[in-house]
Amino acid sequence: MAERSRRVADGVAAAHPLRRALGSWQAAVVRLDSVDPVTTELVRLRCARYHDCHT
Amino acid sequence: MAVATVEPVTDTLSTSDVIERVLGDHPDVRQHLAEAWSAAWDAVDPVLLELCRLRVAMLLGCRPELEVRTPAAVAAGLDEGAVAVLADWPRAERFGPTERACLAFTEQFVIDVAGMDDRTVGSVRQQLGDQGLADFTSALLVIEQRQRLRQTWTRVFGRDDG
Repeated sequence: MAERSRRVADGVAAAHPLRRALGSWQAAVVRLDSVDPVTTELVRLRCARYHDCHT
Repeated sequence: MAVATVEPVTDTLSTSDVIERVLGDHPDVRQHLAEAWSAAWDAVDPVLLELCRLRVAMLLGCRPELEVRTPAAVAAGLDEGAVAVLADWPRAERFGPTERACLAFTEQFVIDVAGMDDRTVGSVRQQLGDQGLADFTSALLVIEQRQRLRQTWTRVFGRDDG
């Protein structure tokens, strides 16, 4: 895994309205239930790998 | 399980219309995406964000997005002369350090976000500050994902006229 350096100061996050809207959008997507949970999780993990997202 | 039907998606529809058509049965998702879109334009200089939106459209081949302008950017003084040379931004003299930093970031974001290096990020931070970098990154995420959704839906639900 590549070493990462901190790129923004502690406590810095996107403006609250934007952060809240992004969170609400992603939560609404996650609540969709027409795709089964296992397939959804496989896609989520595939996306995380593509985006190098370790969280 | 009920099977939802979606009216065909075509290039003549605006992205908002495509979203309305595909997410017709999911008003909450549609509403939150619209709110994120609106918040993105409030969080970042709209002219700067518009240049990046158009560059994303160029890279993704999203022609309908190239043909429209975001009203907030037009109202803020978007220069069509800059748009005309946007594809050649590394060599075009009219772009300043902020535009260059953000366009380089945008290209890396679209092509391979996992490969984003410290130098590319640092250039944006130097121009916009820490808060500006956080705002720009989140706004760009909304811009890019909206276009990718449109591109995907056009392929999945597009009408085959051939």
